[in-house]
Amino acid sequence: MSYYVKPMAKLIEELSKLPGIGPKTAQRLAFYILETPYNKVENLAKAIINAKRTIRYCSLCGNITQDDPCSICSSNQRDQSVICVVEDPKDVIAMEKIREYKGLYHVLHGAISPMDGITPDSIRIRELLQRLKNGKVKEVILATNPNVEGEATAIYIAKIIKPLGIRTTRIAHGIPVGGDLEYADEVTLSRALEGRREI
Amino acid sequence: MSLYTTEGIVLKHRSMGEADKVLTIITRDGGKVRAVASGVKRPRNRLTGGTQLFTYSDFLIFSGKNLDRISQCEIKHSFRKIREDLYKFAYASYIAELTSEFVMEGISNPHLFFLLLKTLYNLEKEDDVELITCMFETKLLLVSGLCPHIDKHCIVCGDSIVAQPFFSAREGGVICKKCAVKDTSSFKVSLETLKTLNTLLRIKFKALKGLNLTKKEKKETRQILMSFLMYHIDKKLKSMYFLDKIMEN
Repeated sequence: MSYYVKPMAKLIEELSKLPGIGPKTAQRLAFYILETPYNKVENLAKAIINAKRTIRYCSLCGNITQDDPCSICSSNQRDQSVICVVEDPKDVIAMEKIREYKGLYHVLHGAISPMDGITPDSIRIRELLQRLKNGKVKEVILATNPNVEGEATAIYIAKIIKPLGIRTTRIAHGIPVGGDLEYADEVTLSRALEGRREI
Repeated sequence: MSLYTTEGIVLKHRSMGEADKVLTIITRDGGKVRAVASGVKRPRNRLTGGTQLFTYSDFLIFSGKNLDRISQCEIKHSFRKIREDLYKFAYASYIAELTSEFVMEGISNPHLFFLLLKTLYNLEKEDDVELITCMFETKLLLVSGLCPHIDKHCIVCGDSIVAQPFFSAREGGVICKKCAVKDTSSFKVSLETLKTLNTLLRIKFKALKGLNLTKKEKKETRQILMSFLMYHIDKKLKSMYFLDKIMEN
């Protein structure tokens, strides 16, 4: 890094800490930033600091928010009797894009993964149980990822919710829209067959 | 770069980048292999099904300089029922992590591969997961050349242990009361449990059904095996925390 002036070396060093950015990309980005007009760079820097300073996790659902509780938890338009459990704040955005779900969310911030040392106590399952205590919730939709860890998390949560008498459902698994049957594996196909419906 | 085909079982996976995963696979002929499965987090990816945890698949792999890359895979058995049962999943995670500790990268270990495969088939089919895990642990020690010394004589001084046997992981087998004083990590075991361990070392998986163990015998057998395994791998496996957690409930 001795070929660069100090501020440039620092910029490259900081950029290369970002995910997926290697030293070469960091160098290219740093040169791009130098060539960009001052006000645009300032906007970028402000946006980063502003996002970091104002965004936090909702104390109810765990989603990212500016105000606590978040706009979904505090909305009167949402159905307070349904909670959709997801692994990540990004999954909330994916669910919101379909514009059909009108209930609340609960973000676990992870999934049970024994081999990585992630146990039920490491994710927000306790907070979910707290939310269910008020008696308003009639259904919990388990929308964790359809992989081994997501499945185990869903089964674990279902097991502890069942005694509370709350309806617990799991999102369907099967062939993706636009997919090809030929390339679907046996597990996906058998799940799709199990979940078939009349048309 | 060269292509090779192998059958393997997925022991572990971790995310890499946007949609890729690095898999740790135990292969039949090449020991432990670490390979990248590109794009497996996307729903329409062809590799997704065959690269799930515990899945037994045929793989077509590109060998690379650092990491290999999975080109194609076809499921041979998905062990779906293990993934749908919390207890079986917890035990299978422990078994996979333990296997990963004992298999080396690039060193073929077909005995261990077939032992794992047989264990997973049994775990999927049978309900006594604890007994199957005991059997796996015993056979794992056997195929790894670490079989504990289970005899009527102390491994240290050669005296009879019939009066009160103790088990010492450090000494690698049963010891007498006199020698147990010097080894503070040793613990009391019953003669019945030692008999059970000897049986497990001898019998095949299909004979497990005829084995009726009491709760105490099962608990003691696991205690012996765990202490011996932990002594050799020198750490507590991460999956054991989850196992402890669900045994609490």
